[in-house]
Amino acid sequence: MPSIISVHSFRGGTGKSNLTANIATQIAARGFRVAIVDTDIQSPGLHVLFGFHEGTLDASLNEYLWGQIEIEEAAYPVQAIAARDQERAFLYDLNLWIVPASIRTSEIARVLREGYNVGTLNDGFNRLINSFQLDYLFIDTHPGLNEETLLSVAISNLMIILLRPDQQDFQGTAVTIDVARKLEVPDIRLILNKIPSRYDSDALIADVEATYQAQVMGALPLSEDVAMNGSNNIFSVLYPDHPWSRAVQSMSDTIVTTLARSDRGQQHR
Amino acid sequence: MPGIFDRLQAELGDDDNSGGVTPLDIADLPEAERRIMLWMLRDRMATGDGITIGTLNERMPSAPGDILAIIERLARDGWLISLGEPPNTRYKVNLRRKRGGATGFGLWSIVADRLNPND
Repeated sequence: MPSIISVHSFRGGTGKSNLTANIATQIAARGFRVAIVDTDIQSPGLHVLFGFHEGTLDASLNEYLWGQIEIEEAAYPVQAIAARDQERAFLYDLNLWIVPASIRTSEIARVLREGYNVGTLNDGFNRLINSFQLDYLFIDTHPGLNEETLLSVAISNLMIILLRPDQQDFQGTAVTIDVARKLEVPDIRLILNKIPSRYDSDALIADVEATYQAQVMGALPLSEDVAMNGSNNIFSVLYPDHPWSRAVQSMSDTIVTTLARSDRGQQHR
Repeated sequence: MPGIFDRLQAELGDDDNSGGVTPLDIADLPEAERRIMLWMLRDRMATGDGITIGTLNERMPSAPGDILAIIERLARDGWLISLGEPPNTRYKVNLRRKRGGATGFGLWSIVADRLNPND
């Protein structure tokens, strides 16, 4: 059964889009059919990691939400990017689609001004799953809690919450987990990101797991190498032996295994 | 003192009269209603064209016994949209439209006008 994975953080700057792009690419590289939807309509960023810019984005989630196009028309196969961008040739064999949000100022303005039908967004997710026969649909959400985030949370098989070792992140994450539990999300996992080297990661993981009663799926160090990549490309594929990349690969395996187990459990019920 | 869910609900706009519900509204429903609403929100058939009570009964694991009465009540109260005529009425979750924001309108419209005067 296809799985919906929403990736969320209560605050901005946690590295959500970067990690979503890396994990989704890793899972696609394992032979699965994967799509990512950028629902961060107010401050889209996912497209950058896959080499899109304003000139290469003809259609986006925004046009779909306004009823101008079908959702499939806003889904870009990464093979198309690989064909014209030598630095992204590794994407060529992947069954991976990106649904970007518009980066045109006027279109961001319009969606903020007029809003949109949230039910249309939910229809779009399911259309993508059916049309592209997806195994995994990733939803890159806007930080904080708003209509599209709540929808993404409510329909997820797995919700991943990113947080940094920061008091503001800790408090916001508590709110997010409360909401997710109230919406009966089947599986909630945490990822600690940007951990300074002076922290004892194991102690931090134990502390976070005890506080939130939720499993930490991974702990990523604050990496100058990742920062230097500057969202220019998919770091974990470019540098597969880097410790950050190894952690991402491990988390990707965990996601596949966890959701397969959960799927088997549902079939037995 | 209002709890966190009350504050979130206020943030999402209780004063919006455009109809429909948010997932937070669903979270506050009694158990049987909440289970049905969440299931319908997640089920691909129910999301797309809507679902009949018969199909819902077949597909939903451990559907509540009084499902017909619950669905009719949810539809009457605006939680579900009814499509088509009985006995083939289909139901889908009536999600509230995301509101536009007055602040966003002013700020972003000015930015858009300045950057793309011909847009």
